[in-house]
Amino acid sequence: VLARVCLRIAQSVLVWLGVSAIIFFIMHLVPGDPVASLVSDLSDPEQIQAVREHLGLDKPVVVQYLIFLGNALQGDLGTSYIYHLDVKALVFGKLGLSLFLLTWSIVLAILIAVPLGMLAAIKRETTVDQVIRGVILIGNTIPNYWLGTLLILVLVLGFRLFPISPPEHATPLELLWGLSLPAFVTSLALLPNITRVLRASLIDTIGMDWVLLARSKGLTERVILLRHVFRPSILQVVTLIGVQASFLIGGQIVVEAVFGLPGVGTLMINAVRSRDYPIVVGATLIFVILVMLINIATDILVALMDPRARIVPGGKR
Amino acid sequence: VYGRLARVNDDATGMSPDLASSWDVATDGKSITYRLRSGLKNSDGTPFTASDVLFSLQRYQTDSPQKSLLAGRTFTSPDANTVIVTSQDPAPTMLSDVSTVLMYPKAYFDRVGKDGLMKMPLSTGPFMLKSWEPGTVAHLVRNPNYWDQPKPYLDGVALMVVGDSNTQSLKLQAGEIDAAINLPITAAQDFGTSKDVYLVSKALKSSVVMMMNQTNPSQAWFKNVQVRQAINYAIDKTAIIKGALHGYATPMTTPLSVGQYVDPNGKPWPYDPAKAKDLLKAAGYEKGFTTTLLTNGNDPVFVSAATIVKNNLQAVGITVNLQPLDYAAARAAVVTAAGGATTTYEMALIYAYTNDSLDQGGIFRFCCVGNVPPSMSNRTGFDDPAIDALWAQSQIEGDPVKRAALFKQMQALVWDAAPHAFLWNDMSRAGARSKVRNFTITPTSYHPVTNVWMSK
Repeated sequence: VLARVCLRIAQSVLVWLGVSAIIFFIMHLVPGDPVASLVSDLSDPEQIQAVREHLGLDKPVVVQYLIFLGNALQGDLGTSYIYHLDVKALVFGKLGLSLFLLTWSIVLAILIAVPLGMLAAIKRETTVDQVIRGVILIGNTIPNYWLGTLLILVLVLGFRLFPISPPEHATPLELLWGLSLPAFVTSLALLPNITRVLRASLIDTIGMDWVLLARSKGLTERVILLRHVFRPSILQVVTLIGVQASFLIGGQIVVEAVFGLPGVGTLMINAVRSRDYPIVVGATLIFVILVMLINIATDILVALMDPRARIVPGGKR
Repeated sequence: VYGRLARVNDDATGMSPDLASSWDVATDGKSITYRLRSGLKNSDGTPFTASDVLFSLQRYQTDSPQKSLLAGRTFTSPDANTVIVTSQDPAPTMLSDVSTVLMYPKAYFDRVGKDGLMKMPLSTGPFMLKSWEPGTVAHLVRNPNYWDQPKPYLDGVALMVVGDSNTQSLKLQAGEIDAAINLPITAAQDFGTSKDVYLVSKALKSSVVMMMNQTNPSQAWFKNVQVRQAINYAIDKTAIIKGALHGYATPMTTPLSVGQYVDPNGKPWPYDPAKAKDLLKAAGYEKGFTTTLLTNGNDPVFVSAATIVKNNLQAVGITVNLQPLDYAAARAAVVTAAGGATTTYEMALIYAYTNDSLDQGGIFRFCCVGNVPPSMSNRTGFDDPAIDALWAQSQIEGDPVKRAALFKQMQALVWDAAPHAFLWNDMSRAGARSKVRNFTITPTSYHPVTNVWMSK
């Protein structure tokens, strides 16, 4: 397991370097001038140039990247053009809320998807199964910003069940409740897939010989399902969470904006609008690390649960 | 948070006192004597005097990106409550220019520096900063040392940043926030007949024009005044205001929108496609031409307006390709790094002409005066020597009556020369919960929270 983790970490560092270059250059290729959002329309050209030089934006992009990379490797992601504050501190200051929302949406996805998937598998090809599969399809295709606004209109303004976003100094319970709607909308990047994969996998497993054997031993359906069928299937669900992590975070950025949540997503969207490059690049790179950590964590989890996955490619057990 | 010597009054037609209780403009127009209120204090209780004013003015003159505004002005202070601003020549815009300068406390600035001041400013205004979460919320509390007691009435204000205007509107309706500015265009419909929220919709000093680039060699027709006039005739302003703005705008009637010197007798360019066709024919473009209209894709109002413009122009034979870009990208396509016009864009409908000072000269510089160094704010390349001469005269004419006449003349000339397609004057779309009283907005988009109070 340890060797596999080391290999994954080494791979991750390379990927991170690649992503840092891509995101940095893409951001600088996008038309739009960060200096424009810092100076007024009546500023003198000489002053505009001074601001540009102060930010280092007068240098060639490649030089800018190397300076950025050098600083980033020492843990310095630069200073925001707009807020004049350290990017790392800015992002970490808002990461708590975003991580909380991310975790809550994964938990919600599991809480909803696992029973649904099991129900659909047990009642396969019945009306119940059809309805679940239909709802899942809709859940998978619905745009999250649209659903978010709809839920706000119905559940917040109509029934007054939830706040749009939790109050500023919320208790943990208020936070959990206040973030339920955005967490649910975020979880739709994951929930339908878990249900589908779990259903398919359970149906496959139910057809396996060892299940037949278990039945022939006279075990109850309940024991068979939980002990012999569910465990192998859950591996696929864990793997899926790792694979979908990047979609989950991508969706969360939009969801944060729709619900007016002051997380990293909202920070990034505002930064893109004002071309505050250091925040966009810095926040993206921190998200990349997050996705990698989730991937490594799910790998370890799978390895712990399934002996077959403990093999290092080309190595020994 | 910061006070000024004087600020633009509530209908943007003059100045009202702030930290200075009164001022005298010398008869030769070369100096202004400001008298500070007695006993002014910073929010920490330290006295605020003429030396702080001198410091703030001098700092602006050397450090501000708009330092040219105060170039060549000298500042003196005969006593702790008097400040005199002097110019070599008559300077009719000086009163307006000086009042854009925010007043900083010198001793505090010397102690904490520029960054320290930004992080935790001392206040000379009605509120002071308590805490600040960048990009999220700023908590302001009542400044006990504010000069205009018992104002402000509120104990504190939380300024929140909600990125999405629809979310803002929803949060206001849900009661999670008490007031909001820049609501979406559909806010009035969303609010319906609700008793809980009200809309503050007032004329703003902000007007939206469609720019026609006269520096782009492939679009030489825009140099022809008949073509520009034809485009003004061809566009249905009423349809845009109804369709894209849900009625929250008025058609432009002069190059200026609100405030000083606005010609009250101005009339919108009539919607007259037949006349537009005649003019195009007279200009030699009977068969029309093809052009690209760049628009601000972030703002549904601009996208809808651009679509109506496209259809209107199509009807008179001009083919328009719409190009919606996100605001920063659209602006970069129009404005060079130094602030002038790029030679590559064709037509652009991306922003409003607005400024928050009293003087209207700046608006003319944006829209219709050839670029006057050092500012490069005219982005169409339109340049008419007669208008430039009038503008230059207005910058040194000390007599208010003569100056008003110059502005009237300029408005008429610019209106006929049609450097842009003149579209609409903006109205505010701010809203508040009904318990929030006196929440309003001035034409310069200033929200005087000082007078706001809340019922239980």
